[in-house]
Amino acid sequence: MPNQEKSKQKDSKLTTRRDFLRGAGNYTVASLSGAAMLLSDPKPAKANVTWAEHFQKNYRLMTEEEKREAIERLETRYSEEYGKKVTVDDTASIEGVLFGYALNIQKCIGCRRCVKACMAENNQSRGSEQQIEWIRVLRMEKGNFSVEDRDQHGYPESFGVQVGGNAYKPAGVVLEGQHYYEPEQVPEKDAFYFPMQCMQCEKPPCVKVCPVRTTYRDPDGIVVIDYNWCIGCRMCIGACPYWARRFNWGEPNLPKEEMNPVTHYLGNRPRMKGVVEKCTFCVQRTRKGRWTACVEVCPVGARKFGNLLDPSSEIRKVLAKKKVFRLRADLNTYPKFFYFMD
Amino acid sequence: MDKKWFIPIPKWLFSRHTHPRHCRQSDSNEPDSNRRRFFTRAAVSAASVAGTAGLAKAVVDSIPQPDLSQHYSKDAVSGEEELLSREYVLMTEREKQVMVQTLIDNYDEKS
Repeated sequence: MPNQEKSKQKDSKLTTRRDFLRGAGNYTVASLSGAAMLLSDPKPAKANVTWAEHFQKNYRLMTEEEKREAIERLETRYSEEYGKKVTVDDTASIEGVLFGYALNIQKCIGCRRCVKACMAENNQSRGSEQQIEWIRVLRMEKGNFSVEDRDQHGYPESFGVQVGGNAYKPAGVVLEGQHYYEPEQVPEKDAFYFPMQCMQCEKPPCVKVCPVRTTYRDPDGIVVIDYNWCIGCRMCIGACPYWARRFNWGEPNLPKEEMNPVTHYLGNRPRMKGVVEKCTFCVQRTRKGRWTACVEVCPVGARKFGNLLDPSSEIRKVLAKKKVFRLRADLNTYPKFFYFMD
Repeated sequence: MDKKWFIPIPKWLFSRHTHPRHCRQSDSNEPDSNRRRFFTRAAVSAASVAGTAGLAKAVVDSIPQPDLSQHYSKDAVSGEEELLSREYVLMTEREKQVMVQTLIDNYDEKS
């Protein structure tokens, strides 16, 4: 009998432990799922794809089928969110094309139409609180920019001892400008303008530092970002010597009626909070044989764009015949964005 | 010593026979009792899930939202400071040629 009692007691203990674990498990799962449901985004279109997007692969590692599915998901979501038919393109680089860009700083009048066209084309966040601009136009005082040939004056002091006949010639300008100028009329008498944007470096430091390989250089030279893989660590922002990358601190503000529905997966599709973005040479346009929005809108034709591999292209002619400047050439990033003068 | 839980968890979840109403009286009552117990548990579970979720929502909402404009302008200022230290250099003819050739070679290598 005592043995039976013991056995009963043991059974009872086992049942209690099992019950405890079962109850605790149920309670935890139920609570967590309830909390997750309440905390998840209430927008139905977004909620439908959130999980799928969350678990999708890096764009470069996706199969064609997976890419197609991801794009269909996005198209459905954006179309619902913005109330219009949104297309997400995934056109790859064109073979035999390496994009380059040149900007005539003598011609630029600082009208900033390029900035506005870029914002409209590339679905950038707008509004006084969270405006994102991929192009910044710096306004500078005239007279600080000298391009005189300093070969006759010995080596430039700031470069120290020159080795191997390095013939860099400092243009004599250190950028001192302001971005938010509001003149009555442009161009101003004593100012010149320096538009800045992503230089699409051949050896981009931003790509090197990205811990999740979400940003990479495509064969046509454009440095792109897979927004779904960006973890928002901002390493690339710190690494970029040209201040070309922007971070979405909040949910981007993109009014439905202003949204450009023609998008590219790696380009102007709507971004989300916590991801980095930057100029992509209007990948949704240029891979279809069109000009970038800024080139198209520039009223003075200061912007030139073309294929660096084509000797007869405008960009190659500029490089061959004009006075060309490079910013931070000492970093050996090989930017494919050049400034020039006639 | 009694263990105290942060979230009150009903005892019946862990012990089936502690409450007299949940004790099996007889075989004939068993289906009724089971059903009642199931519904009671379902109702209490739903209430506790909703409560937890509501609490979580309240906690998340109560976290003060950062001033976005400050963040954006801070980025702009630091970028501007960065640019202030930059210097442009004029490229020589030789440099331009070498650079174009490097770009072409690089493309050919990768393709």
